[in-house]
Amino acid sequence: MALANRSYAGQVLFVHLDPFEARVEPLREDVAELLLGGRGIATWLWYHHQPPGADPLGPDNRLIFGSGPLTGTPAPTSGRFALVTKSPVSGGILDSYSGGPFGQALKFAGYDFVVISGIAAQPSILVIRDEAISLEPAGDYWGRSTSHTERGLKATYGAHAEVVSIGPAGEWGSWLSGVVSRERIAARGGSGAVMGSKRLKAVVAAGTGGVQVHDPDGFAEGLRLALRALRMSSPIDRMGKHGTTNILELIDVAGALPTRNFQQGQFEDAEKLYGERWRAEVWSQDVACWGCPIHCSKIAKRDGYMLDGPDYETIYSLGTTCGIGDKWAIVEANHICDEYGLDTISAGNVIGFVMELYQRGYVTAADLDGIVPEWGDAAAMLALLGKIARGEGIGRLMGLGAREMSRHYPGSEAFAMQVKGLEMPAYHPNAAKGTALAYAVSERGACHLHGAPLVELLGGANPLTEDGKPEIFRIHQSEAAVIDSAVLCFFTSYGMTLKELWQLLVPATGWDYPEPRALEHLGQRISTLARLCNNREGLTRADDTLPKRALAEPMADGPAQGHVVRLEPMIDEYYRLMGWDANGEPTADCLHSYQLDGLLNGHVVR
Amino acid sequence: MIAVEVRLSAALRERLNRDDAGPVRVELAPGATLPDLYAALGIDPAQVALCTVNNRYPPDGYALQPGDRVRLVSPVAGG
Repeated sequence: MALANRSYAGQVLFVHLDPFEARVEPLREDVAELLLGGRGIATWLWYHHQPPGADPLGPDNRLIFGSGPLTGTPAPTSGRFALVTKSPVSGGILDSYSGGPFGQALKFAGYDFVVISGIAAQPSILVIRDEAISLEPAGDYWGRSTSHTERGLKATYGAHAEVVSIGPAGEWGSWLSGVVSRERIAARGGSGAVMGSKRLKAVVAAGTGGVQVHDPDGFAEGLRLALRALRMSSPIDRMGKHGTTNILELIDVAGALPTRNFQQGQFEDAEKLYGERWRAEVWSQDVACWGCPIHCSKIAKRDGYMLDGPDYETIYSLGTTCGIGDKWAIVEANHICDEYGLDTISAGNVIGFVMELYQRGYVTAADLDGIVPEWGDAAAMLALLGKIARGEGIGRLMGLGAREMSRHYPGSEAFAMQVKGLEMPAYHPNAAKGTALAYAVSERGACHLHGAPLVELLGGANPLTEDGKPEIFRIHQSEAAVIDSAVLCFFTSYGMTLKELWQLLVPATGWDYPEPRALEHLGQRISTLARLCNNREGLTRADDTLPKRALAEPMADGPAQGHVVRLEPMIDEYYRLMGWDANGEPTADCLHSYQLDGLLNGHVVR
Repeated sequence: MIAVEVRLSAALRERLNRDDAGPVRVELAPGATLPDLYAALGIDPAQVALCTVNNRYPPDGYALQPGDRVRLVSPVAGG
């Protein structure tokens, strides 16, 4: 296979669930060179194989798992996998990622990607072992937690097998559910509901192959330089000690810490949640994803139980946005999300939204199965989370997200803090205008990983001005697209620049990327391809917006007090920089400059 | 002289090997600016990612006032 000495497996596995069929196609070399891997290639596969307008929860929706050219090598943070599908939340393309070496196992089995279509006749488990592909009954695993499922399947298929699975939340169809592996989750956008709609409880991958890089000596040198860059980054060093929680102090001081459903940007109990307090009072152990030198993850230990520690996003969503400063309540809520397969960001955001619905009289306890959701009430937060996780009572509606819920309470859409249906992460848009743009235009909805929200809060620019933010976002969006296509962790960008990434990718693949900036162009190509996907599904400029709270409700407190987001001029400028027209449609010249015209028509003009 | 109250972020305290988690009182000459404050504390300005005074971003060249409450945060990583 032409790609086998370029760090790819060189094959794509297509699986249809009912009637069951598995077939293999070669991975096209031009596609691999122009779109790199992970997000880029999976987006192309989705564009080619997904019927336009397909129901995200129907048989035609493709669920794609995949890897990148660095997957399976010792590249730092490469123990991850990518997922692309159509989101039930946004109705557009969804890309999501998780730690856990499932991508590596899939690649060792001989496949860079697996593209899954159809709906199984019964709850099932897809098993991929080299050339042996089978669909097995899920049996008693259906209805069980993600950790139980993963432990059991590893016991059956061997320690070298890697597992992705959904929990009960994905089984009942919550749009807040994701796909879990090794207590990490491809969380955002409802991929768990897509997998649940296919009656697919888990995918197991195990292989006996390996990965061959193009230039082993060059790759070894690139690896040395990448590790050195990470080692020399003091922010990364500190993240290793305190976890991602160490940014909470910065966000609080900046007045960008979403509190009580974004009614405020500073939380009176924030200091209880600063990184060093977690270190002193909760963390008992550092852990890392496979192959990661950063080890941002933490273990919380109490009463003999070891629980995965919540990250910064979770401390916002199940903490501050609900007015909660109780660390152990957040730990417990995080554990429930892991076991049931829920996105902590969206779950906590929806609970905060319900607390505001209650505050403003839209709902009473009688509407909420008797739960009184006062701000700061951790027991109420946990009770509502349990309802979502199990799909009980009000949890059936909450489990579809803030936008769907707001449709039942006219007027509340003004403070349903979502974009394209996806709930906002942990940065108040009024206090960080580049982040506001990122939320508005990211293809999957309100996203903090398609750009770089922290840049403007770390001295890179005045966070309160819109000026210059489209260009900052465009650059970081391109970088994020490359990282997601290499399938490395976003956190590498705190130490590694595109130069270090280029020094890994070129010897690994042998692609003729002449300089690091070529990767920026590649990232813009991927973002434009994702835009084409969304346009095809009917999303338009009208979807690139923010809720009224961001656009017209002046910030209540902190350094951003009085600020709203002037969004439209930023969108105009961003589209122009990307080569898209005023409606957000990529122009013919733009498609040609990215070689997408040829790629999408089956061949590349060089 | 004027006195201002300064809180250093945990990351900044760690970089400076300081263990004073609470506010630090700093005396400066009248008309002192933020660079003067950094010099008084022995802080390299590049170590400061974000600064607020009285819970607001200060304008360029801001002259510190008696009783100002300053927060200084160094670069961090996470998200």
